[in-house]
Amino acid sequence: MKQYDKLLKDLAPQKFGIIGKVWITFLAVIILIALYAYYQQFDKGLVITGMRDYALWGVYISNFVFFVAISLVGSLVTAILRLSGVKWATPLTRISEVIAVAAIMMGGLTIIIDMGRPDRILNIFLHGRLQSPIIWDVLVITTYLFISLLLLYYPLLPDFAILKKHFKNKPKTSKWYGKLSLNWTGSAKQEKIYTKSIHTMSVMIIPVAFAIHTVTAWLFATTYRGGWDSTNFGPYFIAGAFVAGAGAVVMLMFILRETYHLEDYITDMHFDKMGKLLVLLCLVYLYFNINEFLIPAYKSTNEEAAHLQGLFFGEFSLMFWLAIIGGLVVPVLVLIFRKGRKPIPLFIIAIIVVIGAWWKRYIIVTPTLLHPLLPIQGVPESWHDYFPTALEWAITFGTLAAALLIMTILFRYLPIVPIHETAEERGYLETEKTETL
Amino acid sequence: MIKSVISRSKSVLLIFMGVLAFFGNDAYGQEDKTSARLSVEHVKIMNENSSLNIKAIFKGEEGYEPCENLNFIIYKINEAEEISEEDSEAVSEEKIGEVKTNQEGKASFVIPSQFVTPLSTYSIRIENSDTYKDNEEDVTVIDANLEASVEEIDSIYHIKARFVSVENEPLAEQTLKVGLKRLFGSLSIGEDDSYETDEDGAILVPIEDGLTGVDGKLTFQVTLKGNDDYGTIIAFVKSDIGVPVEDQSTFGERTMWSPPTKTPIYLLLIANIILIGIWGVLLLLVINLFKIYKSKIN
Repeated sequence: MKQYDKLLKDLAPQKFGIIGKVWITFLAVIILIALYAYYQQFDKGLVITGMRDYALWGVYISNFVFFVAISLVGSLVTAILRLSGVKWATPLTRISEVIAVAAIMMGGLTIIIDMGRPDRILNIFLHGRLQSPIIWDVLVITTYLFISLLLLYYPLLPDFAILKKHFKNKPKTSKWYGKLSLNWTGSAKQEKIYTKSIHTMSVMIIPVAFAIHTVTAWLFATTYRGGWDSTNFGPYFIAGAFVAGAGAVVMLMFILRETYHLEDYITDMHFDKMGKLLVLLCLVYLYFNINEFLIPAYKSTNEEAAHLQGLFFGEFSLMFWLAIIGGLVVPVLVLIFRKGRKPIPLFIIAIIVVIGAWWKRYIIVTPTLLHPLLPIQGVPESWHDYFPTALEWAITFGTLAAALLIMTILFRYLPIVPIHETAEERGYLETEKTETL
Repeated sequence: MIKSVISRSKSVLLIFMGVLAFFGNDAYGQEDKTSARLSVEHVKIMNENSSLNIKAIFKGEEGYEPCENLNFIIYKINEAEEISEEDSEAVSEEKIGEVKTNQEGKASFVIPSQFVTPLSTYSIRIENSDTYKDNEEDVTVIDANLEASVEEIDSIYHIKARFVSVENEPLAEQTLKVGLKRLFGSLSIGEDDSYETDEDGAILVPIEDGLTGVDGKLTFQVTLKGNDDYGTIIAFVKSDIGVPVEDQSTFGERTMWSPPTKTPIYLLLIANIILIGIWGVLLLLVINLFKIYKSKIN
């Protein structure tokens, strides 16, 4: 009973401290700046961005691809590891589900931000062509968002019931948790439906998650453009998404563990395992990168040669090598050593991985557009290059801040580590039931 | 002293203004106008019409620019022997029409057939324009005929053309171009860019096999281009010797590039089966939430 109470005390949602309030204010300020910038864009159009006829996709689309990539971690940790019978991942499931929900919400919103005429969004549904990968993307994002919300909500039912009881001295809070628990009592029938539903979702989310990022890759790969014209793009994107997602989970694991003192639940062992997993994912993604760059470099068609020249030695080389070496090679070299998988080094590596993953999306999207099949002629000099404007950066940082705000708010009201599952795994529930009887 | 200077200045000013008012208005107006540079080409299309193709440009701030909406008056200059001596001034030229340039500074004036003579001189003039100075360009052309036909010689089709005067005298050593009329220009026919007429005023150019046309119809074009004496003369020859173009349009069919209403059936089926399958399961999962809500007692 004592152990269970401690677990409840440790894992029940806690009010924001001073750091939490400062953090929320900081995010709110960034979002407000972004809203002002978006008002400018809504009023004047996409002319306020650096995008022109050639670079018609810019930082918004690379940010969108990043969000979709990050969101895939929900399926990795929750579904793949759950179905593989990996028990150590339990404390990380909620974190990855929250990341998935926040990222996919902001991913969808980013697409709307990229529209010159967002007031015409309904036209996508009214006149959209099922033959277009853009429509596939709209359908699959909507589906993934819904299934991610369900996958977040279902495992919360027993936790909500526990929290209802835990907060009985706060009637209002208790009432809300009670409503959200859908009268969960843990009866045999409820358990049966619950287990079956979670299992179904865990199976179903994997193809949907693969579809969402494969379709995002197809937005590029269905064209003949240098750097995009690849049959390998779907798996390449998925491999990269798992790296970015795993990096994001490690970052949040560390921050949440330190903020809420969850050392008993998110242990060094979890960091060690996630470090190993990250090495594996980085190696797989490196393999796909070699595939994506070596073969086009070997063939060196005019378009590919111009594109690769820009990446390897040209204007994008700094970003490219930082993303490849910093975001993939260095993590592997550091994390193969046990000491590298300790919380602090792993956290630092995870930050580099996530930043590298963000820039990797940027150099997937932009350089190709600046190397069109026909020469760029008869346009102003400024159209030959692309770099986001200050307003574009403001909006982009706003979306990132909004994703972090969604996560922060969800972690404020939801248990970061699943209470019911953890108690069950540790055998506390049996003890509690026996003691109650 | 000062008074006398002022009154003298006033008188000078008045005289100056008077001179300006009397002589200066017209002279000053012409000087203020822009000079237009003219080029005129006489084009005769056999069995159709003869026209004057006019182009007018002026030197603007950014180089040569077209003279838009510039009105030209066209005169036919009659030969001296055709007019009576006592009335030479009045009938030596005759206005035959007017034409205005487009945005590109170009205009085409179709010469009425009654003004086409074996030797014609036309004067194209800018008169009393608000913007441009008066100017004129004269064109003198000798009328001639270009006859063209498609003939099969030794199982090979040829373009046969003959260039003759109006008296049917052959015109030798004249350069003709032979082409196949296409949407945006003329496709060169034969091995050479141009051919010179022989002593019969004729050329014979073989036509290569495999030229395509809608329903096999081809329009060949024989051209005498910008000749000093005869201007430009074009003869078109229509024939059915081409390879018919097969219409491979997929318009109205269900393809990957057709509009939403023409989505391929297989795609509709696959996409909808997947969507209904997944959303059906999602619906069941939502129903399961209701079942959990309702089954607390059990």
